[in-house]
Amino acid sequence: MSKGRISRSTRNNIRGWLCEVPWLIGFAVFTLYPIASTLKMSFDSVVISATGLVTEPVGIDNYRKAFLGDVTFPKILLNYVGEIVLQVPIVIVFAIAVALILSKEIRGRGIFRTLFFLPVIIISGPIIDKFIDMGMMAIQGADTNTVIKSVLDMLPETAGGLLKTLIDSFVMTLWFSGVQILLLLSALQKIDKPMYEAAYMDGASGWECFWKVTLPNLRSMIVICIIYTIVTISTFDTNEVITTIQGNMFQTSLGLGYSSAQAWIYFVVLLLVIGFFMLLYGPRKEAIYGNTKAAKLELKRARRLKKAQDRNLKKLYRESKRYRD
Amino acid sequence: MSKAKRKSGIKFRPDRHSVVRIGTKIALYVFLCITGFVFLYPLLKMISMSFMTSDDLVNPLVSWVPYGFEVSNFTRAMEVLGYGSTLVTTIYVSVLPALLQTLVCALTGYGIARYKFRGKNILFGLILATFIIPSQITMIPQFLMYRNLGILYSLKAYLLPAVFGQGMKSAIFVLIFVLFFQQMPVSLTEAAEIDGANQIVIFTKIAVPVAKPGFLISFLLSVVWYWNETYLGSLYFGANIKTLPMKLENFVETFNKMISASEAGTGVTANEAVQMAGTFLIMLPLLLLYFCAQRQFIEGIEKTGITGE
Repeated sequence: MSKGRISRSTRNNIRGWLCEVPWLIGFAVFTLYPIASTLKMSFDSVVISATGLVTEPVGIDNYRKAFLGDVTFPKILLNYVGEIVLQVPIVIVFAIAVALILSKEIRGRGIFRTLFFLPVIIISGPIIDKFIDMGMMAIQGADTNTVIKSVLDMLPETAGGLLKTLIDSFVMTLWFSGVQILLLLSALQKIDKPMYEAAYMDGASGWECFWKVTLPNLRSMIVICIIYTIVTISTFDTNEVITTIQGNMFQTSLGLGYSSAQAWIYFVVLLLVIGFFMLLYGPRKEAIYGNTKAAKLELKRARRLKKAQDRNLKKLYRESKRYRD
Repeated sequence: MSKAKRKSGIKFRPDRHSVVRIGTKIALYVFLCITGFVFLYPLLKMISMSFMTSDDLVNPLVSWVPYGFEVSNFTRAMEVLGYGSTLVTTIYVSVLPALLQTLVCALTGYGIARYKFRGKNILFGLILATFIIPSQITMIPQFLMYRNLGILYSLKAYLLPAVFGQGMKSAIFVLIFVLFFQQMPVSLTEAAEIDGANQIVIFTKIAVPVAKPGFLISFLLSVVWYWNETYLGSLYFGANIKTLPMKLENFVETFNKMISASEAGTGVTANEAVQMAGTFLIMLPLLLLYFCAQRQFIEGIEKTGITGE
């Protein structure tokens, strides 16, 4: 039996990597290479001609053009950032609220869960476009509401425009929360009941329980939901930035090099947006135990103790070595 | 004695807490119903509008229920969309890549969930990290690659990445499979190994049945996402393959072209009613799918959420 000679861990190593082979090939060919290639092209001027691609290095001209030459691109990009910074909290707060309600014993839970997930199934660019065109996604009555109107008039142009798009596509924003509601709902079910009982015993109100027990326990799931929301909104078909990038691909005056540069700028902006939200509400290791001063001190003490133990062990080891020598 | 009296007193007096509880419950129902209506509003409006005549559309008295049910909206929209053949194309374009993607992601997830190998955690992190890579940054070289391979403007432009686990949102599917395969008890696979089952038998006979809901949710979500994708589709397929959502994009132009050819001067225009009928028709297959499989959808996602984060 030749099989017996190979150790179990080696076999597992081989089998494990064998399972990953298709994905690894795909990753190299369809993700890693294209990303590098886009980066390289962003420093070139690339035009599709009858004979093939005509490439010519131009340095950082594409990037300079995107920020300084192009009139619309920085504006679109800024709009996108503004919109997403407004939309993500709306989606997350809404998802948490609905999940909290649906986690209670309420009649018709199943129906509401089905209803809130429905948009995930039907949401697609052209359909949303049609709905927004016809004003179906707007907060109803907002266009005639005098209060909203006067607020919009008062705000500077960019902020007012942002608010207007938010109102016009408000239902769409909510439609992005289907998956998040279900994920948060299952995270809520995982929280230990005794924790609430202990909190009530100590005289905490429901409101305090939400802030001190529920929210810290949900934290990691909320972080996942934030990332999910950012990525789905950013890669959605109607997003103006990505339609501009695709449109520029086939304009001979701009070429693939320019759209590559725009794609890279967009990627970096997307990462920055994620980073911004992670700074605001990122994962934290001790989240579940609360971030009270006592807990922090406890943790510090434990760490110090461990360090001391390690030091002692090392010392012992060194001494024993000396004896052996 | 007084204790007993107090106890019974509490029973009969509607105390403050229960009033508050009922009050909050009513408030919650109101909130749910309002948000539910807001969620459904575009769909309800779409359905109501799709039956309206052109007179009903401009009539301020008609807001929800039209006076005359105009079914011709649907026949016109069907004609414009080429509904039958486009539907078949759309099913083809969404089911095939979804199938391949599900299988490959299952294998990838299985490898991570079951075997301990070097660099596993790094690899898993990498797979998850690909989720945040927008397709815009990879599409230009991919476009050129497919052009060189001669598979641009054909379904293969979807199939090829799917076979190698780089299909649409494949990171999510790998994650789902990892979570589902991790539920597989180790003792079961060990017992099978001792009984002489090889790895392929263990995969097909033990792992696949355990992760059946995982397969289902991945396949369903994958179909839905491929179905609704128009951005990459229009780039890779050009005018060769048009799915239903892609046809909706230039619905009005197609409508005008067709009508001006056949019924010029009859005053038929691509009004909102016809457009909504078209939108409704495009949504219909997905709605049907959802109502048949809504339990699988919801339970699949919830299980994913419960088993891990």
